[in-house]
Amino acid sequence: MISASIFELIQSVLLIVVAIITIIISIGILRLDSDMDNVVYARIHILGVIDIASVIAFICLGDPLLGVLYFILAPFTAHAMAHGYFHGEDLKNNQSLTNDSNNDKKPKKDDITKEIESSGFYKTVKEENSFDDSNDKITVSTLKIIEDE
Amino acid sequence: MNLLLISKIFLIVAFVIFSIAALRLATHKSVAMGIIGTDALTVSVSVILVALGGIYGIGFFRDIALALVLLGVVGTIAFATVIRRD
Repeated sequence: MISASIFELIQSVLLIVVAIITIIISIGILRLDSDMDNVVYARIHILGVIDIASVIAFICLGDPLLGVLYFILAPFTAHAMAHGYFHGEDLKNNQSLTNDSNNDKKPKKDDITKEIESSGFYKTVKEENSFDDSNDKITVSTLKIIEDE
Repeated sequence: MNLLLISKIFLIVAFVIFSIAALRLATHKSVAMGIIGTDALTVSVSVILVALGGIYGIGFFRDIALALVLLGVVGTIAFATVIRRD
């Protein structure tokens, strides 16, 4: 036999609602397509829903201090995560991040030639090769004559 | 049987399912997804601890949940500041 006062009834109904919301969120957050654009922001948004659900659960479980504390702190975490992702990993939306990554991966040809010329390595290699080129050609031709015989 | 007890048990089951989903989130490729999953796991474990402390009458579960919420928030903000790489 189920017996409850009005206060306990409200508490129980709120806890059951929070539990249903949590199950729906846990299914939905995994079914979200990972290849979709801005999926990280979508997941942070879903996490905001579960934050408020947990605040209601904390208050209904008889711990309002924890609920109020988390109600104040949850937006700061969500903002920090979104801000960190945008400035650290978001290659689609953050234009400065893509420019930096392109510069890191593919340096320009002019910069490379300038660096080599300034180091002095290019001239010495060129002089040695120009002297040895004629000898290489002679040896190749003599090899061909031997093959014909 | 008490209705409040049934709802608490239902809440614990729901948050255990959500903890598994949060663990799956934390194992995604990017670092940001790891932070999101860890934050979700922190909250869900805190709610489970408060609910279990209410059912079994264990007082220090609330203190653990309070510490977990506070340190989880601090850790999330610190890690998000690190991946911002300014």
